[in-house]
Amino acid sequence: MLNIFKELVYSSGVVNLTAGNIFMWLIAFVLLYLAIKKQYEPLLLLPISFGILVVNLPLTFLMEPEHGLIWFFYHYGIEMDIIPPLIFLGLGAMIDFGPLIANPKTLLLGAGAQVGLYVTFFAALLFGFDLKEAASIGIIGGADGPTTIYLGSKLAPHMLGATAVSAYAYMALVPIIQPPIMRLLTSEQERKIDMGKMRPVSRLQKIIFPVLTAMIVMLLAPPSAPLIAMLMLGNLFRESGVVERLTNASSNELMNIVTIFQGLSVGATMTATVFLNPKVLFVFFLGLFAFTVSTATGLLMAKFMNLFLKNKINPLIGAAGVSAVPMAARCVHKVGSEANRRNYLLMHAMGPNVAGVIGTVAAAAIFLKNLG
Amino acid sequence: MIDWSKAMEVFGSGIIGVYLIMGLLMVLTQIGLKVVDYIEAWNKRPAPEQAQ
Repeated sequence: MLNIFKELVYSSGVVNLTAGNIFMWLIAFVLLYLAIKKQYEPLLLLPISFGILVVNLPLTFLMEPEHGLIWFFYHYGIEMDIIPPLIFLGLGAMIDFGPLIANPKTLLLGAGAQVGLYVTFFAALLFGFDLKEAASIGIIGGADGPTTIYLGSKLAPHMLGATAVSAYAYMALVPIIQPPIMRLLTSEQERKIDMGKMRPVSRLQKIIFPVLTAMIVMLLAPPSAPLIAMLMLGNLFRESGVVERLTNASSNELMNIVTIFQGLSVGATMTATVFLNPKVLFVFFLGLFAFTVSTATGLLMAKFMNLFLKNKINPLIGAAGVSAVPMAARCVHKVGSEANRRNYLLMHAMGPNVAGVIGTVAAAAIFLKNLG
Repeated sequence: MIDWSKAMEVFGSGIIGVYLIMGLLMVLTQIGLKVVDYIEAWNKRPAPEQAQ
């Protein structure tokens, strides 16, 4: 009887628990709290935090290569580049590029915000990260989860959990991080700039845009193909108006299914042995730096453009050049309307916001071309 | 040991590359929009008999 009891205890995970496992549970509980109670990016943080929890239960072998259930999700979904492009398909089916088409100049604001990403790349190198690690940290500044995961899984898979969680956590914190930077870098007068009404965009223009963008971006940066192709296909589904079932499937069922696998797989990479390393934890600090600098460079790009433009743009919309669709645009609108009640910046900010998605993919493709 | 010359190459080519892609996309989008505007205006013009 005693032997049976002993065997039961020794074959259980309890005796194999480490302090690291328990610490990771605490992280999982904090993320669960943020997802459920605070509703910070719950669609992602909830499966990520559950992934962290279950992978840190000893002897479950969920991430055991060739055997573990979540390992299969991770291997076929993330390592083999299936999930991030599928998320982009759904994203494309949900995004309205109309505000960007109405004001193509905002594409430059999407590029401006990416400068922060390269500044962070350089900063990470100064803090002792190697080139590939620095690139996967820098991309956090793009505030685009699937692109962060796509690049991270190729360049620094050992830091994937930290970079992905960092990206999603800071995306959720956009309303807290961005406004002080916006107020610091713009004057009251600039924040009051009224951009008026947007020009109307026809259906034909909306149909041509994804086709043209896919061709240009993929010709100039071929490594961007998986993400840009799927993003623009999803958008073409939406704008063509003839495949409503495919649009709905991409933006609802498919998107929801792959989101589950993505979250769980990313969370499961955060085992105590990999994650509890000062270098990996430092990623969170650099992620915040990336986000801050990208916001600032987007704003400064808008101010720079105003030196040459006859019809001035409100520089606040430059801050939406980080992706984080649509939270960054909403944040711009809120800060703008505080300065001028009649200022309706939401749609104007959506232009650089969706340009930021394209810009981040282009930046990731250039990183891959140089370091992949 | 970090290869700083490679780092500078990644940094420089990254910033220039992103601006190049987005700038070209902006120019071609603007041209495309003008062409579409022209085609749509052409299609909307009144037929000769209606004009009379």
